[in-house]
Amino acid sequence: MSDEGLTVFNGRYELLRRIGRGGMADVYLARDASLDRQVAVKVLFPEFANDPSFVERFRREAKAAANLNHPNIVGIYDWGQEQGTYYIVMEYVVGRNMADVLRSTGRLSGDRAAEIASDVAEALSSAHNAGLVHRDIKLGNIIVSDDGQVKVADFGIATALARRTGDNLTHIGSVMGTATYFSPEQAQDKALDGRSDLYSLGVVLYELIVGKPPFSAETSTAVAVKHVQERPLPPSLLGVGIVESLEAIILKLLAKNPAKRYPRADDLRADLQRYLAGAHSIGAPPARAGTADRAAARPSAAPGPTSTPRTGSVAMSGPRSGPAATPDPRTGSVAASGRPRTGSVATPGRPRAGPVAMSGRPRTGPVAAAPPPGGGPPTGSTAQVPAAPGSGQGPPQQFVPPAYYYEEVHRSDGWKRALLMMLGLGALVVVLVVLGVTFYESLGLDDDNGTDAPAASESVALIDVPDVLGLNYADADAQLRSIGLVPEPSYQVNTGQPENTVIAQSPPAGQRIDEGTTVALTVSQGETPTVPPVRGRNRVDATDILRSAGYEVIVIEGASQAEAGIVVGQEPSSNTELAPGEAVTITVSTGPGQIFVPDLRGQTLSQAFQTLIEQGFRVGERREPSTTVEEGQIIDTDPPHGWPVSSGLEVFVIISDGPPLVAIPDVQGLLFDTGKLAVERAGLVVGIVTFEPVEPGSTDVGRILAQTPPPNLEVSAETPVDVVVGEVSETEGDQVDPPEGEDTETGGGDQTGAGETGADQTESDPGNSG
Amino acid sequence: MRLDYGAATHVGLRRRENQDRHVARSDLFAVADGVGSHRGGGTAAGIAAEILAEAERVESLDQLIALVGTVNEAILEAAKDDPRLFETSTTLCVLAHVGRSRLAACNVGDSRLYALYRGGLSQVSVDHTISENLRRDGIISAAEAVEHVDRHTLTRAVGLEPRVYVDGWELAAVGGTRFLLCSDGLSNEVPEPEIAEILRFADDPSDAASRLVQRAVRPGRGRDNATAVVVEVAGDPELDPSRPGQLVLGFHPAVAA
Repeated sequence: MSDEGLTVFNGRYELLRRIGRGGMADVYLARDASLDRQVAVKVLFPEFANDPSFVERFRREAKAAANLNHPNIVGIYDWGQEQGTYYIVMEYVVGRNMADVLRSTGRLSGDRAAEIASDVAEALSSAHNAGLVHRDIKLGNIIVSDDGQVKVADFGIATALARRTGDNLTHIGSVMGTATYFSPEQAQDKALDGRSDLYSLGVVLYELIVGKPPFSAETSTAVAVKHVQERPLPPSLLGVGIVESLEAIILKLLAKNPAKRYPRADDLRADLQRYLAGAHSIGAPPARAGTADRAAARPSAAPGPTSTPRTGSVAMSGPRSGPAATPDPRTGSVAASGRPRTGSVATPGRPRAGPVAMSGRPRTGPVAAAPPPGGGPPTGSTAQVPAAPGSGQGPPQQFVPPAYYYEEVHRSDGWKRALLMMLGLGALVVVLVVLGVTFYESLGLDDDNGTDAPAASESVALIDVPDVLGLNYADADAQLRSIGLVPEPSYQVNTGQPENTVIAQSPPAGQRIDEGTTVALTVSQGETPTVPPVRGRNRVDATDILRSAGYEVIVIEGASQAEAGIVVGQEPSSNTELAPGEAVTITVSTGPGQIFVPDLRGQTLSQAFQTLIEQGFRVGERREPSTTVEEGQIIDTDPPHGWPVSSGLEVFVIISDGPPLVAIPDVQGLLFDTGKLAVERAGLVVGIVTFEPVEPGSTDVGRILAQTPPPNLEVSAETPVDVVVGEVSETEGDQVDPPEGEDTETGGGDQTGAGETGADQTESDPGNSG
Repeated sequence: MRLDYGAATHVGLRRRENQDRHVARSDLFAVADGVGSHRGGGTAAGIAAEILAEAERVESLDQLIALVGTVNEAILEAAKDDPRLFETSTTLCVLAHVGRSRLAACNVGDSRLYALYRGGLSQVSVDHTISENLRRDGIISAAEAVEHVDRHTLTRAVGLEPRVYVDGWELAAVGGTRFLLCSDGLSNEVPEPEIAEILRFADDPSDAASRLVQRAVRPGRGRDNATAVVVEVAGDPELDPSRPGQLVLGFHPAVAA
């Protein structure tokens, strides 16, 4: 097709002009003559069009993408083949992609970036629910139309590309140009699921706010390595003004381990919405659930601090103190915990996906849904097998598909270094708690007015509101309930009244109201301490002061004009009321010039200590297991090398304890290849393979009949596991069939596999078993 | 005992490079299908073919498997010096005459060894793919296996890891038996009944090999390189008294080499 003259595809799409050129296709503005509308037509480069397997996948994925119907996804209308190449017809969006936007207008505010990311998350949610992983979320694929709609382009195409061949990085790198948005699992060519897109979206969000991506390097490979190994610098350390909650969201998205990210795009979206609501809601609280609902949801009684659950969009408003509120099961991440640093902060509130489900291969649905390994072989002909679990039981369908087919060898590489991220999350919770308190108060105030009973009506059961002022709350509660009214407490501190005393009520005594109406009670909560001022003090003093006042202390470090070690910020600010046991986050200056933790890997211990001491650090040491670093050698430091810190900080040298102990998997009954994957996945290796004769044609041929050491024994990594495999021996019997008892002797063999071999197989990929 | 043989290969209609290699000498026959889209695949297969072509005569299955180990080391060694060969590898399917009326065969990957024995065709080798494992475990059906997303994902290949696990067979050399060693570019494109028919009616092994490859690269097919090596055990089956009824005498899955 040329730019001159009118090229018409399928007698219908008139190509008008080229409007873009990507890594794999030209994009034309076209007119759809049938519907008389403008469309965009993407025409594949010939080198892709000539690869039949690619075209087939392209077609399949285009089909899947065409089924996505979502306002935030660029619609796919049609696809076809013309003039020896392939094209896709899609929605023509008048607008700019985010890469252009970033280039021309510079970085975005956190709020704007969060809005865009939230829309992208919505698009991803829709696609992920349809089993489609985008794989190429990047600035260039996010378009903001001229009417403000955020749209994600190129669903499915990256998938087609990625499956084009078995090789990964080089190839995708050469096609797509960059690994800037690669998730760690993508960089390692592991199985992907929607959480990979969430990582890429994290990179996008980071870039929108910071102005540059978290990792850059000269080559794609170097970038990919950074995605796998390096931690992103928090935007706040780069001098970018960012609310901590948003930063925590970004860092959660950029977690190396998919399990540490949001489990679903919806969960991310919920947090972004919560962030957006939180940033704006203090002045203007969102709509609340109705009075009746709240009354119903209210705990039946109980004096003292109550965790009044509020439903709907006010999930952020928690009780200001007292026990943690019920975690919100939909998000679990940052929503409802009233206490920072509890497990619920980092742990998703929904069940983790199992290892198989994590593989993110939508087409293997029935397999992915199955339980973990451990079952026996599929048929009943294995009774003679020693120690084969579950042998002789159950139809083939009950064979438990081993997760090893899909899961890569995963070596935990000391990844507990998420320390800083935890700090970030902790800080986030603090922010939310603080916001919650403020918000709650504004609500409480609102309650006083908003729940006023209507003026006396003509309804039959009108009740005189009793005077409960001055009563203990428990008594007031009981009294109101006994006459059919619904007490609703709010709490106020520093009232000068004894704790749990009702100090205000609305409606006032004597008013006549309907049965079932809420009576708002303000209850004295006694004295609540306030946060002491620590700004300007040094870190140690500040921590002591806060701790002795009963607060938890979370320390965040950042470069500042102030001398290193000086507290330059505290949250909540001084004199804010805060119950003991809550957390105060202090920001400690790392000084005007940053020091970076030196790279001590490969040095001897004494060299390392000396280096640290010379640079003014205090030195600690810690031991951790490692499969990659020899025992006694330095794994890294905590904080890790390259991390910006203040002088005088204690730096821990992490010394390898040698390989960690791992449990030996049960591979008995598995096919050899499957068992080998299982063994390797556990960090072990297959040792000596010996053979034991089994019946010719038995399903035990090629299966592991026994293993040494036995299952569940804990051994160090790389320990060999010897296996005994079923074989057909020449000395066995005199009637020997080929394996699996397939037909050998009869003409029936001709039919074996008839009609099954015409698959569009065109290439061999290496296994991922290495 | 004499073996007659013939071989054929074709780049196919869609690929630019033929990454299949084969060996056909009087006592040893092999097909190697390079894995990977870069040059490395062809190189790995080439190393395999070179070593097998020049190897001394093997006299047992053990020696044959050891030979595969040698190939494995050679590919890994070559990759050490040439980063372009990183993680490139090859399938390898070998049939060898190991003395008197005995044959040995071994396989790594998804190239195949078929036998047309007493008129019936059977696949002797077992594909080392994830989908084949799933099929043997009864998790997916044969029909699902050929459509399975992991049908090309090998669980074993030569040149990938320091130790390679080889499936080995001891086979009876029964007069009249025709063996086919082929790359998946052939077995994917020619249904087994057709393979059987061509093997059965071709004039001689060379004729069979070239007909099979032609069939694999016919218009509308030929999506991959296709290679066939056909080997015939000379002699009349009726006159051969050796152990009637037995083709596969022993099967040793996953022998480390």
